[in-house]
Amino acid sequence: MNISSIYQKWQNWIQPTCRFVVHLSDKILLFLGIMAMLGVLYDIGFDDTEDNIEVFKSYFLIYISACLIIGVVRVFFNIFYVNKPLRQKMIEFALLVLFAGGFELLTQRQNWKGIAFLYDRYHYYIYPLFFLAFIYSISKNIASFYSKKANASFLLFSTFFLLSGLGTVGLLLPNSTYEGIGFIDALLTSVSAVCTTGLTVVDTSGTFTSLGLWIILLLMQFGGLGVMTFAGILGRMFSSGVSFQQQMLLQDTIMGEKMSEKIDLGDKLSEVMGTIYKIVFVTLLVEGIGVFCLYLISLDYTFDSFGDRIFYSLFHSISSFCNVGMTLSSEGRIIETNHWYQLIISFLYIIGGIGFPIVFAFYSQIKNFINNIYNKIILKKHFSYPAHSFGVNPKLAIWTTFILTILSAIVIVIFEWGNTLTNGSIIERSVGVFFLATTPRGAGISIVDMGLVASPTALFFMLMMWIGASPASTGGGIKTTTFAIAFLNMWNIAKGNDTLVIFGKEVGQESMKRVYAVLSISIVLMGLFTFLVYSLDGELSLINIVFEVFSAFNNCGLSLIGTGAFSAESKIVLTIAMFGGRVGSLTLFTALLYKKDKKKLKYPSQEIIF
Amino acid sequence: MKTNFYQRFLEQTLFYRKRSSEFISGTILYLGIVFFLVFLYDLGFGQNILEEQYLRNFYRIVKWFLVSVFLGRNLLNIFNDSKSLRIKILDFFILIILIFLTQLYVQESLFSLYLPSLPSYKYLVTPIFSLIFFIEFSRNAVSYYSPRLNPALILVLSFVLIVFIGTILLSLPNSSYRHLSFIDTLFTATGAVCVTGLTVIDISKDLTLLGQIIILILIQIGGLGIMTFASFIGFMFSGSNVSFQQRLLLREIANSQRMNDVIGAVYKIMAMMLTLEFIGAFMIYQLVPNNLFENHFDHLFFSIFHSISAFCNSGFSNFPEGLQHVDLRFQPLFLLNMSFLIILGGIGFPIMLNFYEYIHLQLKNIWNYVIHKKRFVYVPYLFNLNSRIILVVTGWLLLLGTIGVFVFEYNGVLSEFSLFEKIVVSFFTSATTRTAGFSAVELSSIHFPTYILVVILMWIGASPGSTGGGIKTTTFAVMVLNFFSLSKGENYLIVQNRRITPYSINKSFAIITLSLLLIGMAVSLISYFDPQFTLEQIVFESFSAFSTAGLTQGITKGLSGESKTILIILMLIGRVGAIVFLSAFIRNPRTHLVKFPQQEIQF
Repeated sequence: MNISSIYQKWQNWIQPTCRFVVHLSDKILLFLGIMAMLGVLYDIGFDDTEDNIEVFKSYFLIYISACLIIGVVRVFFNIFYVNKPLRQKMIEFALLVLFAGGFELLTQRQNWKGIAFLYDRYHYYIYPLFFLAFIYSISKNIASFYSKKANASFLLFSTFFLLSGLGTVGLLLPNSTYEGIGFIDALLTSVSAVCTTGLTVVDTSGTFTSLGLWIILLLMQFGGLGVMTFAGILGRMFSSGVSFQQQMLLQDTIMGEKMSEKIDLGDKLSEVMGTIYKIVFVTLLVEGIGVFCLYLISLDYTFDSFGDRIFYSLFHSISSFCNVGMTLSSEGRIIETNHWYQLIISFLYIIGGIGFPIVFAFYSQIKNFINNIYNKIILKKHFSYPAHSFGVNPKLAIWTTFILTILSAIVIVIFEWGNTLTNGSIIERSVGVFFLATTPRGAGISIVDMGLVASPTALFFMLMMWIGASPASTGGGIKTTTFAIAFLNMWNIAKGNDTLVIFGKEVGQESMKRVYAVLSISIVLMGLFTFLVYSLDGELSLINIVFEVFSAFNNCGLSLIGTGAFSAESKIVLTIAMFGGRVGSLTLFTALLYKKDKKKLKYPSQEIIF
Repeated sequence: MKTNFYQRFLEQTLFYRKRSSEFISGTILYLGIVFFLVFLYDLGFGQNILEEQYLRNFYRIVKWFLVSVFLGRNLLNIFNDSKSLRIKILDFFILIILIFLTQLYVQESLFSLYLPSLPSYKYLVTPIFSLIFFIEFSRNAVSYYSPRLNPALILVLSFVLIVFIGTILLSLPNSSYRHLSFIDTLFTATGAVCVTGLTVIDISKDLTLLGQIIILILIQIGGLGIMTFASFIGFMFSGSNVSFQQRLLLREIANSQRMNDVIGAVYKIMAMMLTLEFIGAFMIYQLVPNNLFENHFDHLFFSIFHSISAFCNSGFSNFPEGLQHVDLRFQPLFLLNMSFLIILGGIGFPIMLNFYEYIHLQLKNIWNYVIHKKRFVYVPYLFNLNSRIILVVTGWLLLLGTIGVFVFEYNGVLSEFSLFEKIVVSFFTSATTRTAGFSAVELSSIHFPTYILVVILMWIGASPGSTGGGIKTTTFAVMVLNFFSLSKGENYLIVQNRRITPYSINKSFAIITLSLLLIGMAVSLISYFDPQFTLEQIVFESFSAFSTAGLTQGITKGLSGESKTILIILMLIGRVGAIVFLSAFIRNPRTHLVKFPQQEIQF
């Protein structure tokens, strides 16, 4: 018996054990994390009394101790576990250290001068830590969704459902609002934020405390990111022609049999994760720039504190980039009056709505350009040009967005120049036109009283809301590409051609059928929702209801009379419409993506007369 | 030797025969134009005795002209081998009628000595003249089609032309009791030609008998499709010297699959239509009590008017208040009869031809079996996929519509009817929404569910190749089937073991997109020009106009001129077909000799 065989035996024993321990501890940690988060929520959400503080302290201490014990065991097994990437081991170790710090902070065994100032403000340390740990353990458990063949549409649905649910609970906390909020209103606001819609039933800045606003902010950010990532990943898969399952299958076969059970999905999804990182990076970058610009512009306005000013900018930046459209506008009224502010906001939601692939393509072009200039000046190198990064889809999206914006501007100039946009100088009014021309396709921030717009404008807005933003973006609607295909197909048929050729590529029949299905189902669903709302709120006029339903289903957020005017039942319907519009289109898309025809027959073809 | 002489005679006179034949055709053409102008004047403006004399003399001159011209033509026909026998017989037949008329004239002028107040010559002679000239025009009509001309454009222009002729006719002083504004007349004419049934005037009160007859003719022409009408008549009388290109064009118009069937189909369509309308009129005459009318003529005219209006899915009624009149809406059998006429008109000629073939085959089989003891012959796939889809969809829509209206309106607008009448009125309403446009109930007071149902049914409309409008049942079927096919994960759209071609799917998609865009545009504009109406009413009106249904919530008369113009355009587009209308202006097919790489679209 030599050393290598002993090692082999050891390995044969230790690896399954590691796997077992890690998986078990994953589950336990998730459970603990949920409990801890509930505690945190309760702590934040309800008014504290002296007794409670002690109770919470011990509650959190128990959690931290449990985490420490499990963490130590985990870290120990991590040493021997070969199939785990080093990065994860490092993260887990770092978390363990941080938890140890938390333990110190809560027990206060030694009176360390350095952190003494934190003793009373321990929650500033442990809450983010808990949150981080919670996110980490969720991400570990999400992986098992994939391995259990739960498809992406279920994941999408559950993500949004959970987010909305958490948001509702968060907004219902007594500390989130000044005077309390009804369940339905909280639900609608939460879903509205998560689904990047922006319909509001209450005055956002007047009703919610800073805690409530932070919750909304997070919901918007996660909602926007969620949509972008899901759409981005799914879109990539679809356009590359390889389905998600196929990718998984491919990697399985490369890694060998039963590999998928042994390795963690963090590895397997590295490709996907790469995309997600990119998306998060671009999002944060753009939002950061947005915050900076908005901050500079709002310098002339009075705020209570520096923090308020920053938060104001942050909220609007995120709200615009994620195409939500919730504003804090009753405070200071910057949005309605300052045209520079409007311009920045409209650029933010245009970037958010044009879709991640295009933004990234632009980003890499700019990066390349800067690199080139740097190389030219410093290193005296020649310029290098990358291969063109714009495919048919981005081109189509850009062109459609451009044309639709021009068209909307024309319509708005015709109907609104002398109607709602009469105040201010020519420049201010022009910015107003630009803002109104772009806002219905996703953002839903209004700078004029929507109740006063001419009825053709309202109807045109409905069309624009329906068309929505570009693919893989934070905006809603059936997407610009879908509409473009529908329109071009119509034009093409009328011209008498058989196949649709765009930018030198033939549009695949699969796409066409899918576009057709999306278009028809969206109309059917909107009709259904309109019907329901009308049955529940018959006293409101049809245009208000249809507009509201279009706005909700297409995740825009404009409203003619304000969502508050609807009855509670209608609000529920609108909430479902928002959720359905956001999740539905993607779910439909993925559901259709996975099924493949197994028929080997080819049937005789038949033309249909119309 | 004799044959030789005859041949040489033919050769030597060829030039002169051609010239004189052309001369005759030209004469008839110009004479026809003059005749129609005078006839128009005669009909449209009030006459005094002196004018009556002039007109009588004019008709006499026309008659003698025609007699001599047709005499000449018949003489030429004898030596013309290239003309088909059918045409020669027709020419001869016309000559006989003309000669018969001359005899009648003599007697008539004798009669008129005793009965000077009876201008009977006008009512007998002028229709025959009109028919002769019309046949003559149609003969030439086919040769006007140039293969280079865009067929869609021809179709659109022909509709526009008929609308304008209709407008002029309706503007004649004798057509209406009161002065109608131009836009109202245009609207009414368009409504009739596009078999819509929306009116801004009261047909029973504002139009004279002449006006109503004009409306009826416009409906008939519009229902059949003006191109079908003119070309088929043209074909009937111009023999087989029609070029391949022209046949192709007609095939497109007739929506027929097989080329050689086109002309045969024409006869059958005409025959079927007239037969059904005749039966319909007869039934209506029997079912509607006599005491509603002042005299038998009114009763008869009412029957014919409603039969044609129902079969052509027009929805015009010459009865005050239409079918909502208290004497009519409680006549379930009459309503049933109307429903069946509407359904038959809306199911489309192709499927009727299909039925005709089926029955024909079965009868032949039975005949052969009984007489010749032959075995039955089975023709596979006699009902093609189109017919099957149309039948199934039509059936379902009728059923769902009936149930929907019955359930939603049981305590609503149907509450005044008995149970049987409720069922019949529901069925009638379900049938009439697609896209006839009669209403037995007050549509402005229906509940919202019914409203939605009616709007959707109007939008779907009738079947292809029919007198009705809408996006057509097959389009709707492809839309639904496409969705289910995708969710089942099929690569192709397969229905009843047939693969629907991509082109069909794309076309149905195009139709739906365009219809929604157009209706949306119309709604926006109308709501801008007429803000006093609610969105419900405007949407209803626009859907009704686009689908050529003609149902209304009662706002048509109150619309502004701009809105009426929009509706006129919408009706025209709806009748011609939105895609055809668009392609009239942009048709420019490009054949790519290369096949481009495929690209899937992200969304």
